[in-house]
Parts: sequence; C-alpha cells; structure tokens
Amino acid sequence: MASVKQAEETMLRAPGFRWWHGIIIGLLLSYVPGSLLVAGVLLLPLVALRFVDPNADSQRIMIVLFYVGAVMVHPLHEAWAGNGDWDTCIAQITNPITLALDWLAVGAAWLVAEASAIGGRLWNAEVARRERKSIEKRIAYLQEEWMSSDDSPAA
Amino acid sequence: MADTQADNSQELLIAERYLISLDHKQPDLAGCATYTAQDMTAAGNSYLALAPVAPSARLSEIMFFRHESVIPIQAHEYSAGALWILCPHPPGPSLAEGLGLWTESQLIDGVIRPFASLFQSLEAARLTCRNIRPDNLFVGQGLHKIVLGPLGVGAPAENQAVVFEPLSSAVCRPSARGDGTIDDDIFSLGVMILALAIGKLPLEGLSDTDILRRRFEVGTPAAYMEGQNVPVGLRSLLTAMLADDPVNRPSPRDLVTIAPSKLFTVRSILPARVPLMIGGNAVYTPQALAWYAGRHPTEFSGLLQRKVVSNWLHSELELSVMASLIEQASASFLPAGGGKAVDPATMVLTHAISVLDPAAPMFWGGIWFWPEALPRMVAQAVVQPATPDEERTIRNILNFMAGNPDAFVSAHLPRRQGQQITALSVVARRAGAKGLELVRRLPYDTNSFLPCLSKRCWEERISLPDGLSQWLDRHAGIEDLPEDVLGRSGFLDDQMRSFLEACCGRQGIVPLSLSQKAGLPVWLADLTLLAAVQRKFDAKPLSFLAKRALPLLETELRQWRSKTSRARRRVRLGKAAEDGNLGVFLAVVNDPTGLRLDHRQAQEAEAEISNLMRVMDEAPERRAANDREARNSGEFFSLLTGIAVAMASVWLEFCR
Repeated sequence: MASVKQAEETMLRAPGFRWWHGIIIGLLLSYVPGSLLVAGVLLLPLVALRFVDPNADSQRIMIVLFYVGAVMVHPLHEAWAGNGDWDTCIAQITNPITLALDWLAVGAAWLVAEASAIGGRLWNAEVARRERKSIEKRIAYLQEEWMSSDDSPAA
Repeated sequence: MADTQADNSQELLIAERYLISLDHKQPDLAGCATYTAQDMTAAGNSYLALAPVAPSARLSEIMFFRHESVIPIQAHEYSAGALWILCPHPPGPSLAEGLGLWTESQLIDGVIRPFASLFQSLEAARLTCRNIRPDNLFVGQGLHKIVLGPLGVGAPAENQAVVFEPLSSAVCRPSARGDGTIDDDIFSLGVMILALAIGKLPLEGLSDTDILRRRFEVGTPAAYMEGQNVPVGLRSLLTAMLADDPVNRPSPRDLVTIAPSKLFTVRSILPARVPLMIGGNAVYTPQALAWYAGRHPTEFSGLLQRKVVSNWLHSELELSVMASLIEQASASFLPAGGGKAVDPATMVLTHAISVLDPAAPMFWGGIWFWPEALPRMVAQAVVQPATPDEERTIRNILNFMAGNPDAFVSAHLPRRQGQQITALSVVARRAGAKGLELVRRLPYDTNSFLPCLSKRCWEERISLPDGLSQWLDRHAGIEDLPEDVLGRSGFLDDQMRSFLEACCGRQGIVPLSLSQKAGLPVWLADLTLLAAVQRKFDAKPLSFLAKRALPLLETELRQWRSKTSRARRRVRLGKAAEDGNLGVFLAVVNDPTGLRLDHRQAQEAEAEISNLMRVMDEAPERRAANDREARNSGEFFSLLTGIAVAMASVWLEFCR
C-alpha cells in the first residue's frame, strides 16, 4: 500500500497528470484494489528507472513499458481470474519469478537497445572504413595517372 | 650515291636504263662534268651524261627545244635527287682544239645560216643560247658545219670569256650576266665568225680589264678587227654584228637571208672631239664614260656635281637630250629626302649611268649586274664567294631590290632593267618571306633545277626535295649531327630549309607559317617541314631521321599529363619511327585536340582528388551523426522487440 501511494505521489509530480487520472485511480482502487496493487508493484521498475536515469525520455519509458507489460499480462490475468481476490493478488506479487522477470524486463529492454546500437555502430564503422579505403585507392590512382611529373624508366 | 658506292666499278644506273660509268670522265661539255653512259635497253647506244651544277632556270623549256645546230638533250633523269642530263656525243672535236681558217662561203653556209635559223627558233621560244664559244662548238670531221653544245645545262653566259660577250654583259662578273637577249648571241656569233675567219681569237693574250678598256676606247669592231686580215666580204657584216649598241646588230632574219658581200649599215658613233678625263683615262663616248663611272664613282660624282659631264655631253658630243637628263639626275644630289633606305648618291650614280648608256647593265652597290641574275649571283656567292664580302653585298642588294621595287621604278631605269626588277619583286612577294630568309629562298624560287646550296650536301647536287630528305636520312647519324647541334639548330641548315620551303611553295603548300615557326623548337619545325615534304613528294620512309628525333619527341611527350596516354604514345612513336612516316610520327605528338582533352581530363582529375580529400576530412563529423543514428535505431529495434514480446506474452496467456 505504501509503495502504491509512493508511486501515486511520484506520478502526481509527473507532468501531464490531470485530476481525472486521480478519479480513475480512485475508482479502480475501490473496485479492483488487488489488481491495481499487482499492476502498481509490477510497474515499480519503471519508477526506479525514472529515478536512476533522469534522462530517460518518454520513448525510453514506452519501450520499457512494453517489456514490463509483457511480464504483467500473466499476473494481471491471474488476478482477474481470481476476481481480484486479495490472496491471489498477494501471491502474485510475492511470486519471485514474476518479480525477477519484471526487473529483468527493464534490463532486457536496455540490453536490446544498447546491443543493437553497438551493432549498428560497428556496422557503420565497417562501412566507413571500406569507403575510406576505396577513396584512398582512387586518389592514389589519380595522382599516379595525372600528377606524376615524369617517369622515364627505360624510355 | 649509295648505289655507286656499293659496287667498286663506279657505275651509276639511273632510271633503270642509263648506265653511267663514273670512271670514264670525258672532257667537260658546256661547262658540266661529263661521263659516258650506255643505254641498257638498246645495246650500243652510247650517250654523254652531264652533271650540271647550275642548270638554267628555263631548262624545262629548253629540254624540248630541238634544232639541227644544237646537240639535243635526249633525256633528263634524277638519281638520288641529283639531275643528270643525257645527250648524244658531239659530232667531232670542239673548235677549242683548232679553229682552222674558214672561207667566206664556208662561214655563210656552215655557220651563219644555220645559226641564224637557230636564233629565229630561239627567239620564237623566247630563249637565248649565251654559250657560243669555241669549246662549246663542235665541228664534224671533214665538214664545215658547226654544232652548238646542249643549251641550258649551265647558268647563262657564265662560262663565256669576256671577248665573246657584248659590253652590256662583259662588264658584269660571270654570274651577273643574266639571260640576255638574242642580240647578245648575235654578238657572240660575230666574234666566233671573226675568229674562224682570221684563224685566231681577237685580242688574244690580254687581261679581261685590258680587253674591256680597249673595247671602250675604240669600240668593239675596231678593237677586234684592227690589223687583222678580215675577208672584205665579211667586214660590213662583222662590224654590224660586233656593234656595241644592240640596236645596230643585225636581226636573225637579216642573217638568214645573208649572201656573200651583203652590206650592213651601222649608224656610226661619233667620238667626242675633246675627251673627258676621269681617273686618268681619256673618255670619248658616253658608253665608256658609264663604264669608267663604275670604276671611279667618287670622281664621277664630283664631275656630275660640277656639271662637267652635262657640259661635255652638250658641247663635245652634241647630245643635248642626254645632257639635260644628266643634269636632272645630278640635281637630286641636293638633300631632297628621296627613299629612306636608298643611298641617294648610289641611286644617282645608277641613274646617271643608265642615262649615259641605256644598254648597260645596272650599276648599284659597286657592282654591275642584270637584276634577273641576282638569284644566280646569290647562289654563286654562297657556293664560291669571290671576295669575303661578296655574299653580304649581293644579299643586301637583292633584299633591298625585292622589297622596294618602287624605289627603282621612280629612278627611271631602262625598260629591261625595270621589267626584271618588277619580275623579281613579284617572285619575292609570292615567296612570302622576308629579309635574309627571302634572299635564301629566291634562288630556289626562281630556278627549280637549282641544287640545294647547303655546304653539307652541295657536292651531291641534290635538286629534288625527296632526294634531300633521303640524303638527310642517310646522314642523320650522331657523327653527322651531334646531339647539341641537333638540339640547337635542328636537322636542317638554313639553305636546306629554304630549299625545301621553296619546293613546297611550288606545290602550293606552306608547311609552317612564320608565327608557327616562331613558337616551335628548331628541330620540330624541321621535322614538320620534312614531314610535309615526305607527304607531298611521296618520299620513301625516313626511319633514321625519325629514330634520331625519337628522344627529342619523347621529351615533348611531357606535355601529356596522363601517364597511360604518355606510355601509349611512346609506343606509337616507336612504331612510327620504325615505319619512317614522319607525318604519323609527328601527329602522335602534335595533337592539339588530344592534348586539350588530356588537359581537361587532368583538370577533372584534380577536381575529383580535392573533392575526395574533402570527403575524407568530413569523416569524424559523419561518424558522430552515424552514432546518433545507431542509438536511435537501437532504441527503435528495442521498441519493436518489446512490442513483439508483449504480443507474444498476450498470445501465450490467452490463446493457448
């Protein structure tokens, strides 16, 4: 509960947070508190990311959200199937695999982004190197052809 | 002459027909070295082969001239560019070996009538002999009929002794006598008749100057016939033929109709009662005064200025017209700015002399000459100058005369001199050259048979352009043309250049304009000229020359900036040199279009290089942009993966 409230508080400070968001969250809290708790707990890594990396923009949050969402599908489904049963919800959020997967999802998002960026950079570097080599070859040829003042090796 | 050196028997086969034995030298005929020749196609036909060094400019017309009293020119052939004239053997010994004593009727039938008809034919063809002298006249064995040696194989009148020439050409040096007129031939014939009639040459044993002095003193007929036993019937004829004034000599028609003791009247020249003293000599006639004026110009000028000459003409000779003309001429001694470059004193002298003796040759620059003979004089002075200054003097005269014909037109010269100067200036204008070059070219332009006068090949008598180029090809070795000479003064010397240019000019081509010539190195200009000659005259390959020029042209290849095209052209040069086609050879290097294309491509290549350099310099900036892009694409890929994972998760949760 405390963590949920904390999350709400942090969200409150987020820009673009409107009063009707509070009403929706209030309604959800009153009708499906269990599911909301599950969702809140599972969204904690996002909040943590926000704190750890202040530069994380909405695009980064969006990416992570997809990964976290993928993990959240199963617990929320369980919570829904248990009709918001408090025990089920507690069981879900205390399930270490779910929690581990949740935190790992953030890491996976970051890893995939960085790895592909590095891959792209390497690729670009290779392309640039090859280009440079061909340019140097072309320059050398042109200089040999047009700039060599005189030759006369056994005219 | 390569083929003659090949076999030791010294035989030369020309036109694949005439075999000339160079060891069988005959006595000179008409002033040319003479050898015996065999006709290979008709056994037993023997000829004389003449090697003329200075053929007449009108040889091409003379070659077709036939007359029973002249040894005909059977054929003319070129061997290695040198002209050979083939003619039959003369019928007997020449008169130089023995004149004999001829009677009046023998002279009329055997000499005067045939020669009169010869002169008539010549006059119709506008030709002259100018070679009637004992060693050129041949008499058949036991016959009293003489035959003249071949015409045109020597320069006109050049081998004539002073005795045989009328005063109008005897005063000139041999090369300056010019073609003359048929009257001059009649005079020579008169001398010959006199010599045959009296059995010896007149005035024998005197020096040329003494002969001239004697002739000017008393007139030629008197000088020659004085004290000689001349047949009475010939006396009037000879007086007329030997007259100093050409107008008084009989015409060929008068001679054809000659009969024994036919009388000719000559308007006698009255000598002055009181002589005029010039240079210690007493002068009785205007003609003699003209001659002495040339010998003592300063004294004569003084007499002119003091009006002594005009007074003498007026009072002693009663020639009032001539006196007033002389007075007019001497009036221009006053400083009236005439021609700029003309020395007025010399011009006045020329004018005064032409007034005194209208039949005399031109006197200018200290020498007597006929203007038409000037090219021949230049040629003679180049080959064997009589005095060290001679060449320069003649060169200046010719140069001035060809360039300023107006200066002479205004000088009121006799008609014949004026015509010759005009003709000369026409040829000079056509040559399109100036100054020294013009002087060198005029001999070739006026005489297409003149051999190249270069000291290097004069001995070879080369008068065909392809003969000269072949000769050059044989003499292009390092020993004939050292490297430094070749680089400095080219393959040809000035005479060869003028010779080849004149040959090209006759064919209507100008291989190199003056401006082009100025821009090229000498050897390249020479090669261009030779290439034009080779193309125009269909000469054989000149591979030795081309090989000699190869290193020089290869340095010219530096103009090409492309290495591969240099290499390609070098290969082509080598091949063209091997083939000996100078035109192709030069075209490899002389290719303005190709050179322009090459330079444009070189500029393009330079632009490309600088462009590529800039691209390379921009590489770090591009890398930063690439990194940013890689990060973005990494995030994008991550987003796509996230979406896929989320969708897979949903599918796993709900649809399984």
